[in-house]
Amino acid sequence: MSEATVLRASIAVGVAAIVAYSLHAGGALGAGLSSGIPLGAAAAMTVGARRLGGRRALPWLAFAGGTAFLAGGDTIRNVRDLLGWATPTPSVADWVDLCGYPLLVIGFVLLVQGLDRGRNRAVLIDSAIVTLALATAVWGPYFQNVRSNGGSAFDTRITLAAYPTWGLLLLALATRFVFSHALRERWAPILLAAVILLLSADLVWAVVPVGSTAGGWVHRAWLLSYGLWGVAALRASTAAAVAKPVRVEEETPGSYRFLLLAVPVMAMPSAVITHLVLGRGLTLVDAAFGASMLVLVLLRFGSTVRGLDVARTNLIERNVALRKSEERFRWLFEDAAVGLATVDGEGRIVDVNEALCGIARTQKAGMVGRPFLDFVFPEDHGVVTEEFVAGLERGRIGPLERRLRVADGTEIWALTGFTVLPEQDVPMVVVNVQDITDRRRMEAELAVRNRELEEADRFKDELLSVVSHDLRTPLTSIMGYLELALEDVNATADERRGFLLVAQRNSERLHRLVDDLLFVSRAQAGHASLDLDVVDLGRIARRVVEAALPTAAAGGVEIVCEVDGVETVVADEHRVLEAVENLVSNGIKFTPPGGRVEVRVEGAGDAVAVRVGDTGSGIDEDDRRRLFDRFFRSTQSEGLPGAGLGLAIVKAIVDTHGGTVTVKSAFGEGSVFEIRFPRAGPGSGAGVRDSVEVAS
Amino acid sequence: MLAADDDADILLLVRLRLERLGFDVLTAPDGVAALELVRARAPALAILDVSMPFLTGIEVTQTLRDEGSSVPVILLTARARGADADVGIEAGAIGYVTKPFSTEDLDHAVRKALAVGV
Repeated sequence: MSEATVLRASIAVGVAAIVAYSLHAGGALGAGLSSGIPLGAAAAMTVGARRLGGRRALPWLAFAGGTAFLAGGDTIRNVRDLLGWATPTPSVADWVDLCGYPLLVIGFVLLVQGLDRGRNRAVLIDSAIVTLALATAVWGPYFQNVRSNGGSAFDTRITLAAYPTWGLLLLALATRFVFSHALRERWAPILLAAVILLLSADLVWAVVPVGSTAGGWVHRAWLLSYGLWGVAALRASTAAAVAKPVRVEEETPGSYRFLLLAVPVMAMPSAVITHLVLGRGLTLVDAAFGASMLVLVLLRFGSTVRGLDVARTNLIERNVALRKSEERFRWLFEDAAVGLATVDGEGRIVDVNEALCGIARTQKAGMVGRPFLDFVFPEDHGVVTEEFVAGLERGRIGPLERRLRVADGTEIWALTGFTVLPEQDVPMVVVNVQDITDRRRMEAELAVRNRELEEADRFKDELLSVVSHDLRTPLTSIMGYLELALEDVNATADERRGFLLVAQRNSERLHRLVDDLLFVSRAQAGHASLDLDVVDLGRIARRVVEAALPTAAAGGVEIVCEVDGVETVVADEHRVLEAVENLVSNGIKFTPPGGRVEVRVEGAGDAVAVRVGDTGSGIDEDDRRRLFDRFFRSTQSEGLPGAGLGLAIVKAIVDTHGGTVTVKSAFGEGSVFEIRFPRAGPGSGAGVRDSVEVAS
Repeated sequence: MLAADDDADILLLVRLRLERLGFDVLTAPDGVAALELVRARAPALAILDVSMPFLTGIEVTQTLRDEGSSVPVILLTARARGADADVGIEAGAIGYVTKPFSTEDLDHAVRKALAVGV
């Protein structure tokens, strides 16, 4: 059987018993039921207590004990009634009954302690006020009854007074129970109903004359009260657990609480009216109850007013602090040098500061209400959204370098970060933005400058190496032949003259090298001087080829010259000749025996082209790109005399004439160098310095 | 004895020097010719310029060593820094002479090379 079934069955049995008692109150059956019902209720409470277990069982065990004693008292009276014996006051039945009340009180004390750990002055005072009010309104007649038996013996009066006293205590605790927010539990109203029924029945019993018909109903009320008590115990044991004790703050008065306090205040005049109507005089006890209650109400009222005052002061202080804090935030926000925006959880801009308007190049109105993503570079939307979501979770993100697109469409670089503002009702994010476009541009410029400097440094090294190499070769011949001429005693005059001629030729070569070096250097600096005249490139090509014939023959290389008529340009004849010479000399040098060098001159619109092709080893792509660097030597020409400075001179000469130089080559398949000179001379053509067109 | 240099003036200079010292001298204008002459005529000593078309002096030396030839090699270099010399010695050259050189420099290098052998 399930717990609910057991519970329902028990309740059914209890109800049936009470109904049976109601129908047949007299006789042995009535007596048996009036003893059996409270004992059954006590048993139900014990069962409930066992199921609760631990400290939570204690109040219910106390209740069970109390109910059992009350059942005991009743049983004694019933047995005596059945035997036809009168029951005096006080009797054993009273002693047994009066053992039951303290246990009920203890049960409530334990219950209230378990429910409400937060001792709270307001709750205590409220409970006391309500208790005293009820006491003033209701307990007056109760004690009146005790006094009306004034003629009785002292022990009778003591016994009669003991009942309402315990009742009052029980009432106080029940009130305290209500104020401890216990009524949220499903079993609590049942328990409260049981207590109210018990106390009401006690009251009625005390004031009605003995033997009246009301007496039977009082008995029924008592039995119903025990039954309800048992049901409450069983309900409590099936509840999952007692709800967490409420942490009661110093109670601030709400309308409910005012009503609760207003009603007891009305109890005093109503009690006075009752006494007057019934023609009874007010007693000292009534006055004491009433006065105590009023003092308590005043105390409570005072503390309420004080509480209100404190609350108001706190509120004002909090408001002031909040306003100051807001002002501080606003001041920081507005005057910050960093661009700031507040953004809601959806990513919409709520507010922006001046600095951000400056960065975004727009007005505040142009930004507020728009999604901040509108200002993020479109390609970055995905990643920035992810960062924003992560930022909402983690509280902050950044700083990150991000591209932004500002109002006028310009792309800028920004250092950005998010911070989620703490303790906001809705998520609020502060986005900070610093424009670092200039910094990044400067970094890029610096990198370029750095590369240029490294290039210059490399150039310096190359210069040293090339100058050293290219100058040493003629110098070797000059020194060597002069030494021969001076020291070779066996040499004839003709031989000596021959040595000196070689020395002289190499001196000229040296001179030309120094001159070339100077020319390249000046051309680089942009102030090389040219001796301009009308020059026939065809004639120059033929001259160069004729001059190169012996060298070519010595190297086993065929050399041919193809010229289409007269092709004139305005140029420095000496320099143009040198450029063609260098290309031809390189061609022969890099062409193995059996190969061929072709020199071709032809008009090409407003320019004249000189092409020097060879069947040499060719040049790979990397080398082609760097070929005309002043002192570059290709990997194939490692150490070739003149090759380093040679092409650099060609380039310098072509550049100063406003022409172009290009090379087509494939590694292993020979190369074709082409130089173009504008017909009209330097400054007329589309020649661009430093622009080597490289084509494969 | 073999001399190889692509600069005709220097080649003649070296040849004259060596003839004055009493050697028979073969000459080559480039690396390829030099290599063929060494293979064909097995000279007592090869004086090779580093900077020559088609095959540099260092490459010629390296090829000879790879082929098992033990002909002593002296390198002529126009580089101011010692890099060529170091690479050359590593490739198997016995000595080097830096341009410009005096009669004494060359004579000294040749005698030393012949005295040491390989």
